[in-house]
Amino acid sequence: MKLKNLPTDAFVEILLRLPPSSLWRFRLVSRHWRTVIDERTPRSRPKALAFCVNGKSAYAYVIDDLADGRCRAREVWRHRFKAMVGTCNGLLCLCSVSSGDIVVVNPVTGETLDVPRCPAEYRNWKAFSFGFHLPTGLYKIVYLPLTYGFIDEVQVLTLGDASWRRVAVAGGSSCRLAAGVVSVDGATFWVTEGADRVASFDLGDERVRTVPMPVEVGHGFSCHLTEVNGRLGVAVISTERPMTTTPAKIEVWVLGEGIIRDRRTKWSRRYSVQVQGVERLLARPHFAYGDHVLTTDTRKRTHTHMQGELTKMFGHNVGRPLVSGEVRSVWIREPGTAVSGIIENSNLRGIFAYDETTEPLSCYRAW
Amino acid sequence: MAAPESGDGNNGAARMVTLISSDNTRFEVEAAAASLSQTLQLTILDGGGGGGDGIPLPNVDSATLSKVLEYCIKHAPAAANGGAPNATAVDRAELERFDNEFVNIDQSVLYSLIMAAHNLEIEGLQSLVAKKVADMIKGKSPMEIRRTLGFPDPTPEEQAEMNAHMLEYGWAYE
Repeated sequence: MKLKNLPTDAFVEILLRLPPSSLWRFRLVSRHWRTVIDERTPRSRPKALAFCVNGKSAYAYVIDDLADGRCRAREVWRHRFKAMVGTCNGLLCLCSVSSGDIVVVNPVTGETLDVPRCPAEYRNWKAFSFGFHLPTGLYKIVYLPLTYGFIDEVQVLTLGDASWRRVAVAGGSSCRLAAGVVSVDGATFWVTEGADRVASFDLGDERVRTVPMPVEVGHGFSCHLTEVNGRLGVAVISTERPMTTTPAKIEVWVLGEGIIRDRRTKWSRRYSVQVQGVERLLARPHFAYGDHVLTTDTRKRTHTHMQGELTKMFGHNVGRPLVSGEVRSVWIREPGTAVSGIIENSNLRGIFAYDETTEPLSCYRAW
Repeated sequence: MAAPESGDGNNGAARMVTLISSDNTRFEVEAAAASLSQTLQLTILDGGGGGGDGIPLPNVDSATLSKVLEYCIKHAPAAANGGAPNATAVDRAELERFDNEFVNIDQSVLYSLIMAAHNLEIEGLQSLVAKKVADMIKGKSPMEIRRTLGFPDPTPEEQAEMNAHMLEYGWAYE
C-alpha cells in the first residue's frame, strides 16, 4: 500500500498541515491532487488581527466576525516582543524594539521559532518586513539597513536558513520608513524618500524595481502603504484641513498586477474615502476586510514616547465587496461599531491580515 | 497511574477491554488507553469490550493495532489530565521524543497507521501521522513528491507542466 492511495479525508488532513500558499505548487503533482486542493482546501478570507501593547506585554487579537454587530476581539497571542514586523499565512513575525531580535509564532499551534539575528546594525524595527513567495513556498524576512534614509543593500533571511544574506541594491535606493514597509504578493515594498516612487524587492529573484507613485504626494499630503485584498495599495491622504488630525480625503490606489514588473506596471484607484463628522483614519497597514473597513480614532493620540494611537478601533460596513476595476466611494460619517474585548490602557500598533493555520514551524529549525 | 477522580467508583484496578484485530488476535488494554479512539469510546462507555466479549476491529490488522495501542498507552496518562496542563517539561519532552521515534517508520506502515487513525478516530495520532507526511513532502518539487510517494510516471501533460515550473523556479530547490 502506498501513500498515493490515501482516502481523500486523510489526504486533506495532510494538506491542511502545509503552508496554505504552497498548495499552489502541489497542484502540479497530479490531476487528483489538483482536484482535491481546489475543492477541499479553504480559500480563506483573512480576518483582522489587531496588535496592541501596554507597559507589560504585547497582545494579538483576532476579530472573528466584523459583521456580527459586536466586533468582539479574541486574544490569540501574548509576547514580550512589542513590535509586529508583519503577518503571513497565519504566522506572526514579532520583533524586540530594543534589540531587534525576531521570533516567528503560530498562535494556533502555540509554536514559536527564534530567528537568527540580522548582522546589519539594528536601528529600527520598522525596517523589517516578513513575506512569502508563493511559487517556491519560501518565507523571507527582509531588513533595510538605512543610513540617512538611503540603502545600498538589503539583508534577507530565508526561514530555515542559518544566516542572513546581503543582497546589493544596484544604484542604491532610499526609503521613507514613515510610509511603512509592507510585504504582499511575493515582494517587499517601500516608498522612496521623496515619496515619488514605490520600490519593490522581489522575494523570488531578489531584485529591486521601482514604479512612479500613482499621484504626486506634494505639500499637504502624506502617504502610506497598505494591503488591499492581497495586493499592494498606497493610501494618499490630504492633510490640508487645519488644526485637525482627520484627513479631508483618502485615496487608495492598488498596484495593477500585484507586482512591479517593468515601467508599464499600472496603478488603479480603488477607494475614495471621505471622512465627515467623525474623527477617523483608515487602520494601518491593513484596512479592507470583505465588505467592511476598519478605522481608528484620531482624537486621542498619545503625546508621549509611546507610538501608535490609543486602542480604539471601529468596523464600518461599506456594502457589497469591491468588484475589480471599479472605484468605490466610501463615506465614513457614522461612528462605526467599536471593537470590544481589548485590554484597557493599551496602544494599537497596527491591524494585519490573519488566516488561521496549523502549519508547523519545527521544520524551519534547521539552523 | 493515578486513578481519575471521577472514576467508576470501585477499586484501584484499571478497567480493561479486549480488542480483536482483523486477523483475530486479541489485545487486552486499559479502557483509558482505548478510549483515545472516539469510535471505541462510545462502545466502552456503554460497557462493551469487557469480559470475554471483545470489540472486533475488522479494518485493522494485528501489526497495525499493536502499533496503534503502543501510541494510545503512551498518551493515555497525558490525555486523562486534560491535555496535561500540569505535566512537567520532562514529560512533554519525553512524549515528543516518543512521537518522533514512533513515526520513524517505512511508508507502508505509515499508510496503515493513517488508515487506522482515521477509522478509529484517534485525533492525536491522526495529527501526528498527517504532520509526518506533510514534513516528507514539504519543500519538495512536484516531481520529487511523485517519487517520494511512489506515483507512476507522469503523463506527458503533467510532465510538461512540471518542467515549466522547474525551468522558472528550479533554483528554489537547490
